[in-house]
Amino acid sequence: MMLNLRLFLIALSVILALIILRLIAKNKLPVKYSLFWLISSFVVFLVGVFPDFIRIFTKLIGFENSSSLVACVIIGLLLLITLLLTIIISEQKRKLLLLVQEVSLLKQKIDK
Amino acid sequence: MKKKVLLIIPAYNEEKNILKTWESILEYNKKNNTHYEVMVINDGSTDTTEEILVKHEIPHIRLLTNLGIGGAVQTGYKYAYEHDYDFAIQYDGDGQHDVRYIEKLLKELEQKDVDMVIGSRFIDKKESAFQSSIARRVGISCISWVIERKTGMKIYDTTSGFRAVNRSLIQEFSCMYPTEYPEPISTVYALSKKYKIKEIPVSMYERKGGKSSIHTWKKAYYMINVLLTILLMKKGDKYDA
Repeated sequence: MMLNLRLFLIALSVILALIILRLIAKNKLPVKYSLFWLISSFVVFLVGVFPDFIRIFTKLIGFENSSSLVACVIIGLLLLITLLLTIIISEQKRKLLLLVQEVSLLKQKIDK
Repeated sequence: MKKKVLLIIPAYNEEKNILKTWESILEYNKKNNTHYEVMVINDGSTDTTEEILVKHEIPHIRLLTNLGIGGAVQTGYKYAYEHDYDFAIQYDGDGQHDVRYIEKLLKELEQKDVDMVIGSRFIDKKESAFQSSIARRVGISCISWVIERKTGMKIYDTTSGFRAVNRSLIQEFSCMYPTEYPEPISTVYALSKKYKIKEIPVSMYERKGGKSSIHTWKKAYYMINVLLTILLMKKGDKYDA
């Protein structure tokens, strides 16, 4: 893997981690939802620091070169994050449904 | 003691039909000395449904936003549960259902060991003039087949929105009810919890006005959604279509 790419990955992961930590500190992101992002940035960091590690996997899975594997790993992480978001939205939807029902029932009781 | 009966009528943009439906029930009550109570659930209608409901003093709950048919009907079950109704009947506000069959549904619920009675178009074909389109009937029998494989019970009119339930199912449904296409899924749910279901022949009419809630491109989605939910449902499982 090119040195440039390694430096880029390390910088990317550090910046990402800093942004996440800052958001937690500012209370804009609960720890619960930030953990996955922190882990993701750590994975990217590892790939940048230990390219040998990724080289083994590149051969194992059958990629031509390490950079495509790196791209693949990042896409995989993004997919997981999207899946998590879908789950969270579904939970929210269910709670919202309950809330609308209860408020509407209460309003009917009061207006009667 | 006289049993308390509630008709749950979900209404989304039913300005053309809702008054007629209400009047037909009032008239029936007067003629037959019955006391069917009505609760219309206005599912965030954007037309004049709410004005009509208020003007004619039709009992109703106005949902703050559109929740979809399942969320609306569940609100009705919650109301029925809170106000100690013995039986709740799902009844369409669009003129498809016939108020005269309510008595039949209730009789089954009262006499026999049954928890839910479904008013069915397909048990006795002579009974119902309106049989729905071929494509839809194929879809319905497909769902019916899957339900039979899954639960061992043959339900013919799986999508019928004309059904009566007793107190135990009122409680069950007020706790959980599928949101999108609730009829077949709630049926399987009730069966999986060992409730007894019976179908009796009723006559239905074609919608008098407005549009059906299922449009062309949504039919495929409907089938996939319902079949997948039913197939993946475990015994006594929570579900959310």
